[in-house]
Amino acid sequence: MGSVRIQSADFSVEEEIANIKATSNRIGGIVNFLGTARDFSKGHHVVKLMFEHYAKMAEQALLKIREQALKAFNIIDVTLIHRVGVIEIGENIVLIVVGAEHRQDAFAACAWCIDELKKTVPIWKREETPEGQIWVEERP
Amino acid sequence: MSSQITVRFFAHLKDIAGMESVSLPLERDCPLKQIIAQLEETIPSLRGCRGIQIAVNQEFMNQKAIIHPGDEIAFLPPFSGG
Repeated sequence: MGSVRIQSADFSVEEEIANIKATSNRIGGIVNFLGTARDFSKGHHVVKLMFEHYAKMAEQALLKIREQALKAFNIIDVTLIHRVGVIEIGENIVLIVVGAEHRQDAFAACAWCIDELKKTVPIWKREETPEGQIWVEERP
Repeated sequence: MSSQITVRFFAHLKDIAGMESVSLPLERDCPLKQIIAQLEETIPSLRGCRGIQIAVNQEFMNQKAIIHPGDEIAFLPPFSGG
């Protein structure tokens, strides 16, 4: 069964894929997006990241994305997870797993979900660089 | 019933405001616009911040909203999750 979560702990991509797979035998394609922490951004080195969120509102926004995705796309289930707190380089940040009968629907829904997450979920990224801390505002 | 409202700041707005949150007295309903104007007088650098959205009790609101005692107002800079 799909779900939405905001948590400081890491998640298991394999477990989340298995959870989606277990939702229905009708699933024929699973697409996932995994966002990870990189060590370089806009010309500067990044040592670690910190994500802050507006707890209740962020959870509601994730739930809304899940509900909208289930309505708007021909998919069977979707999970959205975002980590908050300090995240070291190379660690997982965000995971979206979409299960559908066919791959085109799963790809489209997954792309929409991550774009929507970046636009509508009150989460903010702070980069720690050798020159200091930078709050990131743009949405690449 | 509470006679206060809570104002919360997030991300770099915490640095600008110099605080994470503040409680302000509010005895009766008041337009959000008026509360923002008062805050900008106390914290002038808030005026220069672009792209801020306001949430009241975790819902996006425009400045025409009416604030009630007990409400929570949040100043949200552009999001950067994902």
